[in-house]
Amino acid sequence: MSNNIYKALALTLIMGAGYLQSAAQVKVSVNANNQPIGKVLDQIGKSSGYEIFYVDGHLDDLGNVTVKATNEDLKSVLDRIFAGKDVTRTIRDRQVIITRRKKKDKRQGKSADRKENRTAGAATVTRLTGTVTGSDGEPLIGATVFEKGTQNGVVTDVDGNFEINVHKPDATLAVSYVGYDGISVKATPGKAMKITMRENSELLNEVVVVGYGTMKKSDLTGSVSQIKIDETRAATVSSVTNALAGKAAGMQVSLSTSQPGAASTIRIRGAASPNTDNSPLIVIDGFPVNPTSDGKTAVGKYNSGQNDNFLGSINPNDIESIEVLKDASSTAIYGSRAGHGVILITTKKGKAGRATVTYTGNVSAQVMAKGYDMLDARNYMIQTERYRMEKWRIDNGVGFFGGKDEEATMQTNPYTPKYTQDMIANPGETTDWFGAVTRTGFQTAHNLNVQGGAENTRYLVSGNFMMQNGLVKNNDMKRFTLRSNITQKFNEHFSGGIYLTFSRIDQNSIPSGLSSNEDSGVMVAAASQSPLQPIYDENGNYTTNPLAAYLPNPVSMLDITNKSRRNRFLGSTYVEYKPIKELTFKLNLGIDYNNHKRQVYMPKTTLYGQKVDGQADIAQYDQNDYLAELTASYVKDFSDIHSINAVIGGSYQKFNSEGFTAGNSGFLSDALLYNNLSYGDYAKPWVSSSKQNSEMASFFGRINYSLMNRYLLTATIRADGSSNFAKGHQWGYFPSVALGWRFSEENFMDRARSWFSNGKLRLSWGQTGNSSIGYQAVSMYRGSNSVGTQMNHGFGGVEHLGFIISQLGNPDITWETTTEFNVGLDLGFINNRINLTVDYFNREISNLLTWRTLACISPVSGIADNMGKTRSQGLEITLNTINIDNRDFSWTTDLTFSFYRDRWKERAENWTPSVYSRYKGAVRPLEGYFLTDGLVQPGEEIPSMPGAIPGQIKIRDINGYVFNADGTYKTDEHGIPVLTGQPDGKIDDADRVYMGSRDPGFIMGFNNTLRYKNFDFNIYFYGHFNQWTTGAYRDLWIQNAYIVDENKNVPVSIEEMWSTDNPDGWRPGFAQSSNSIHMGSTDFYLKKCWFIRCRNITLGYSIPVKKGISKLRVYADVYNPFMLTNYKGLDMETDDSAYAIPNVRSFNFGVEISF
Amino acid sequence: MIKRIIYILAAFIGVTALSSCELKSNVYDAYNTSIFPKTEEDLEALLVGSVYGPVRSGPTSSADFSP
Repeated sequence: MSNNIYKALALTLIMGAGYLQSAAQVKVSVNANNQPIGKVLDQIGKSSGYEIFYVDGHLDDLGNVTVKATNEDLKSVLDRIFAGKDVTRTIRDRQVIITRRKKKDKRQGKSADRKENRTAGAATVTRLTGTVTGSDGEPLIGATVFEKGTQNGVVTDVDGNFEINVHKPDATLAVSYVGYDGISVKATPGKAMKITMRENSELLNEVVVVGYGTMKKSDLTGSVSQIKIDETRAATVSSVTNALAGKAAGMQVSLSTSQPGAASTIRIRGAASPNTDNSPLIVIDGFPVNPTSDGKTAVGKYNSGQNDNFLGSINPNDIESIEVLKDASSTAIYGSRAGHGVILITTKKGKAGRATVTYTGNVSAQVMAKGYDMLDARNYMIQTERYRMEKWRIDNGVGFFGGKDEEATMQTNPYTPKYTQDMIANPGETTDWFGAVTRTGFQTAHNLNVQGGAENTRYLVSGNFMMQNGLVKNNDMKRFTLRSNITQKFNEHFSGGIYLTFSRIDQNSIPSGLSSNEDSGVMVAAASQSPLQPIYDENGNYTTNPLAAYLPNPVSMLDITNKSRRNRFLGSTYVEYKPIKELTFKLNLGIDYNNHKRQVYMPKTTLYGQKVDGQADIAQYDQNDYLAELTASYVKDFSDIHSINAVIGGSYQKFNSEGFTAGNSGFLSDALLYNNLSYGDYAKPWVSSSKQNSEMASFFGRINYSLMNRYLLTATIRADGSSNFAKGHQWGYFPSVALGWRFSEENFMDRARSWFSNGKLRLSWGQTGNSSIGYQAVSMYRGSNSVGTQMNHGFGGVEHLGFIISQLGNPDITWETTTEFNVGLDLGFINNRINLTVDYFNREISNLLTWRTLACISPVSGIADNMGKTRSQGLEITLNTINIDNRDFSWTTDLTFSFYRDRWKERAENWTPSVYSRYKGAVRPLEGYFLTDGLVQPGEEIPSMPGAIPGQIKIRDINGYVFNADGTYKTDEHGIPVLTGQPDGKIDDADRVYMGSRDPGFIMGFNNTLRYKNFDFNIYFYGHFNQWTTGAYRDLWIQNAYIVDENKNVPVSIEEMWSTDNPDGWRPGFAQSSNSIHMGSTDFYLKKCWFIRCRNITLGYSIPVKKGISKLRVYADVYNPFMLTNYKGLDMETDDSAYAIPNVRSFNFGVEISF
Repeated sequence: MIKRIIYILAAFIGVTALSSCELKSNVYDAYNTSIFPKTEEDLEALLVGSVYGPVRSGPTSSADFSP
């Protein structure tokens, strides 16, 4: 910040509506007796709530001032002070700009009236005019513009305009403004200069939101990643989670399906709790929010997909920043729910200044990034004939399968083709099942944001409408959000605010999932149906497969109505009281209300609907969470040596939920859908309802101490009580401590200061917890009105309602505890143009919440318990660089790298290992696979696989059991069978092996942003590497190739299957599917894969605008334009999901405009 | 001022401590000891209602009686 400017910030003391008053109405009180004018203006600023700008030194010659006023008009007070002085005062938008009159300005020494290049005496005076704006196009009021190397300077007016007379036509102007990087610009005489300033990145990053407060980034001792949402091009994504992948080291965001409104799975530093939710705690503006659950409204026969997008109710445009708290030192303040990290979402707030209106809108078209490659009609016939002929050979022992002569056998037992050569030559039209159920997707979003205010009152109101038609027909969503953030400073001591968000998401879902046959979702059914089968019969009815009548016609499934509506209201209000400047008490009250309703009707035109004469289901689920928090925070610097930032507080949350489901079938007609369940004639319509509540209370405290801005200490303690545990086990205590050393501030670093700008070493240790296993402390007894359940009992020949124990309570169950050690290093080079952060962590989770299996005679299969321990270790690297930064061109790069390993440390007491288990194996293991050695070749004899036939997978005999004297298996101390390590001549479970973890080896993100004049360009990649894949659809969907003979389609990869007529085929032959060892149990298709996804390419252009419009930007964006990978399926991220709809590629066009 | 702050801090601690009163979960959609049965009488009522309920069920209105 330049020393040449005073920014006399005058804050507070005016009640909220005051900012609407004109300057003439604003009253000020001031009492100054022969004081420097700067001090007097400071008093006036504080009294009026106006910001007062002037150039340092410009008013020095005016001398001291004496003025006394009580509740006098601001304007008249200023008039009195500057009466008779050559000073101009501009009052507008709660700002006062004071400049010296241009005539005979001492510093300029020239007449302001002189025209350009006019000569006065020996000097040439050049008049320059221009405008100073921020990077967002907003005019900067009060920016100082100096002729470089002189004391000649002016400040910009309320429109950011300036006018200055310089001594040389080629003068350089130095422009500075609070919170912005200073800039030097060559004069352009005769042309209005447009000077754009960039916000000071160091200052912006200086403050980081942490739990229950903020901290200077330089004071952080924990591992925190900050994501500025504007970096993620919020406008082009339907949900903010879609834009977070790869943005923060240590955070894994996995897209599981591209269906509208779908959620992404978020994991921070792995997922080492095997039996509970590994999701991070999400805190929105201080409110810890809970996810709702699709499972509560899962009704109807089919899977509705994964559309419980936890963050879907938040408009991405409303988000100011996201902080990802990763280590225990950062998360311990949230205690029991922070065991898997914390994501803090801060929404945008109003800024002081005149009201601005911003509109952003975009439209996009979406196509399937990569489609399934299935057989067409002709090839389907050919491959069916291949299969049938090969089967005939196997069944008759012909050729490789028994040595019989094919010609001779044909005479005695002729093969009868299903499809003749004529039929193959004229296959007819291929039914495009995928084409029939999919379409080009469409998305549009519109966002209107109004914000403004003064120092006392600030507001932001935004509305958003987003509509997305998914790739699959009848699959769409609409989202409406309305957000209002208002903050108010009541007086010197009291302030408050209210944050309200309402969202409504309406969705139409389609049967989803990877289940097969009668449970197929639309996409699986489309993949399965024969290309020879028409969609409709001659009467216009949906066809069914005569050889697989259980397989639904995929187009018919689009007739299913599956509507859901989610209303979410998140509101919080706070009051702050500051008895002294350093101490703040804050009371925060909030509510998170969720209402989710789903209505499903399966008409008689569908396979299942026909079976039950139509089925209707309704489900509703309400969840209300209440929050009350009281905190006290103390922030003080002592003589620039000691600095304290402390907070203590208490929190109480209550969680209420209730729901019901009802359904019926046997409807006379489909006309009424689900709107009158009583019109069904099912003997006992199904109904259920539920209601639960629980509580949580917490106390917490944190202190940050900084000594000489070099030595840092953070200590945190949180006590959490959860009603989900029995008395005596309800309270858990979660401490943490962290140390930081800013060695770059040490004297011995002075020599390196020119290139080494920041160096900090961080060490932290802490504990957090997890209680997300529900209320397991007491036993539960449940009944059911469903006929024939084991709960009911017969009495007098009539079945009556009964109850059985459904949950065995464990009063001793308590918190799962995460203990984490973190060491981090922050380095900054060349004035922080290169920033590197490296973190190593070691996390152990003990007292794992899990299920103890009970004897099978018990009606309850397990009981919740604390057993076992896992360990995660990882490394995270973040590199941010400013590669080029000048007036016309800038280029920044962000690189993230994450690596983690989740392993068992101690197994549960009742762990029953398999022969291939590892005691300290991966938490998500890939195990139990046979190793293979290609395919059995004709004539090849394999002793360990007697009867093996050509084309079958050759399984390696690698191991055998060690037996005790009594013939039982010898086991090690963990109960794992001991193996010989030598082939034993047979293939059995001893030959199955442990492969490793299913998790990616490492994850990377790579982001580049370039700006050239008015153009901006962003390209962003992220990728997963070294991750096992168990096979793509090309591999797995042909493992039962006989289905082609059941009129079911398979991928074209069937062409590569080994057969008598294709002995070079590398895929297992047709006989494999009848073999006892399933292809999925071998490593034949296991592969370590990687992908680098180009997440987006965005090109924007800010159109130069005239007065009235402060910003106009248009942009084009391609989402998921390409992917580099060695994976042969559609997409590594979505293929394995149970809800998979292939990933999309979308083309977006948008506009941003601000007034 | 210091006295005032001490009072406020004391009140603050008092208010936050209030929230440490007994924490309770309730599951209303299944029989459990958090709601029912809590006493021996509850248990008896549950047993009688379940086993003898069908026996006790009979006509509940005059319309159910045959002439």
